[in-house]
Amino acid sequence: MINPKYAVSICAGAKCINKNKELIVALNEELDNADIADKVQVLECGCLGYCEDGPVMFIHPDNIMYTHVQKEDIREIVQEHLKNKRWVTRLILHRKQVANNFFPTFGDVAFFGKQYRITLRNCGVIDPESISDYLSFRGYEALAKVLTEYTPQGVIDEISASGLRGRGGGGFLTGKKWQLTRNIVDDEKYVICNADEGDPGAFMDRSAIEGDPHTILEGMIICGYAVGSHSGIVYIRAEYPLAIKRLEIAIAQAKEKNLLGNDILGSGFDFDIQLRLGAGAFVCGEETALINSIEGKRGMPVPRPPYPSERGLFGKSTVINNVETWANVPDIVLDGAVKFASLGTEKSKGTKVFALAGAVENTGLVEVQMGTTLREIIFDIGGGILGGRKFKAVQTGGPSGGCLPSQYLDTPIDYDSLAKAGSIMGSGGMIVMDDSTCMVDVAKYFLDFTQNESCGKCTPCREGTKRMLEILTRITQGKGVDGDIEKLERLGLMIKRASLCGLGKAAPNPVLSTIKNFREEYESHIKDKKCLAGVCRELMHYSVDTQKCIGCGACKRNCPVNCINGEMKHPHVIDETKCIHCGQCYDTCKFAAITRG
Amino acid sequence: MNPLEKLKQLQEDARQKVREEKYKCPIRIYVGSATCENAAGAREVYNELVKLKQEKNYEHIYIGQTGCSGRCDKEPIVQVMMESSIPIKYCEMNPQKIRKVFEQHIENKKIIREWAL
Repeated sequence: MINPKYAVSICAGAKCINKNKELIVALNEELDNADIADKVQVLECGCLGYCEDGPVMFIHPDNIMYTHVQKEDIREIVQEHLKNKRWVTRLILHRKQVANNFFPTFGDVAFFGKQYRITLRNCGVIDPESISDYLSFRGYEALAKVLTEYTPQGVIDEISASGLRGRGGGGFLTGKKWQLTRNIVDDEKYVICNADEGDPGAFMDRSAIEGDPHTILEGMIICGYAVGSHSGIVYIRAEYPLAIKRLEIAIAQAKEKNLLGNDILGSGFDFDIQLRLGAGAFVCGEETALINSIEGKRGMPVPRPPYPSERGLFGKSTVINNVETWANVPDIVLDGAVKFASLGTEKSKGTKVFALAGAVENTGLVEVQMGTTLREIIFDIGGGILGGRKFKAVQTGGPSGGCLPSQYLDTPIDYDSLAKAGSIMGSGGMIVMDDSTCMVDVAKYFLDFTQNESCGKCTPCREGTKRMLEILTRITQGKGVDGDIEKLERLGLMIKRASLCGLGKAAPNPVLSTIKNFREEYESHIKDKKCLAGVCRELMHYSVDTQKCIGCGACKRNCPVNCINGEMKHPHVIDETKCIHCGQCYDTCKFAAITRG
Repeated sequence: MNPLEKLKQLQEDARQKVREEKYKCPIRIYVGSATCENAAGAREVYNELVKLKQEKNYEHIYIGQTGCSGRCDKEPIVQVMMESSIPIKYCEMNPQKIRKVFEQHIENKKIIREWAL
């Protein structure tokens, strides 16, 4: 019950603690009487700051603070507020008006208000290095519940019923994946957490691990029980030292409390988790390459099938899921599949974390229900475009995704709608671009990344991305020729169809989607040799406005190739044949006498 | 005892511990601590707080850490919770600013509104 209808926080601060116990007992009793115990979560919290008015009680999501709450008041609060949505006005904090803007000062409504946190429920709330903190927030309760009340098949049925799909990007049904591994009879199976987060600009997994490492472990142990595995591995990149440290601490703490290791909580079930560090190759996020890397081989993909569920790590059946997927598992067990399945859209359930970056006012990690529109994320949570500029496109899915222009802003986000729009969900990178962005340059940037990260095993990806990058580079340098766009499209489709793994299959996406949505920009680069956004350096031409130039000589002194001539106090002239289009003169001139175009 | 009962016991112990260590402290300060927060200077802020606590000889201050709360452009974020005062998240902290927060908010109970999230 992580996201119940109401949450009641009862203060357990130094001054309220004396009464706190009896209030909790009374509250639970009344909730049972009123038959709404399953809709209200009772929490203890630290001092809420209203000690003179204690004991105090705070009701989410109504943001109502009740003060001087006595045992006798509980029935009224339950019956009136929690059951019939009528506030108990006589107990509401009146003295300080500040209670009305409690949340604006505590968080800020616009940013957090539209979010719905499952994966990140504890991030920024608990101390990630303390197992006590996690335990006191219902930590490991899902695991204990599973070990006590569920058969392994029962766990899988629950996960299947929830409709959870892999959060790494592919969107494969998690329950189905687990079932495939469970169906295989073998003495040894593996459970792997894929924490090899490689997209430029994405940091969801890192934050989830750094903020709440135990959730990931709990999810993996539950899966181990369900599929009959006793060995878990977290594959994490070595560039995340803090996340690694926190995982190590978490593993040691969990072992000490008998939540990991042999005979977990006296159930007879054994499970151990180890860490494996990756060196940060993008392709190792692909599951078969990741398995090769763990085995000590070169991190390269192999053709599927056989899928890892049939023949995975060391030839044994293996479940691989992304960090975010694992973090959802304890919540599904605790709250039930029905609750989880009630969130999101028809085919994509639950929530998704996005790393919102680029030209928005509020950058950061946001977790929203599936089905939230791009507009809500960018303009409500993100606070709109930076500096009041105009929205141009949003890039989702990192280097494997695509750029969506403004007509897609009202698309509800889920796996299928994004795929239909020509992008992908991916692992959740979301880069917002304003009108000062050149789409050809963006496509080049992402292709440059994938081309660099291509492992080189299969020809379409190795050679194809290289050739595409050459064409794009040529276009941005003003050397594009007729037919380049068609060539890019043909190559892109070919690479998509013929590549061995996900990296190659998705590498052309940024190019293809920008051609589809911003074809005129490509055309103006090729035909008119113009970059309207003013990004592509070599398409910029500089000249001096003789009306404005006072002949101060600043541009002349700063020009690295000495192509500006002119006498002091007389208008200067730029020699276009020598100009390298660096823009130094443009930036230096205090009189706006240099024109660019 | 079945696993669930065992865990309930563990949770109860943990709550007891958290209560003793944290909730009983009249002043609690949480510093964000993830790679991003640290890169923005959260470590220095944390150290400064520990130093301040010793310097001014405060015993009943709990200084803790949390993960990233998601507000990347406002980091480092420091949450101050104390008796008789609403909880405040201060953003874009640095050692000088936190010193001022300490003096104004914690010692004189004056909230510095312009730095609050």
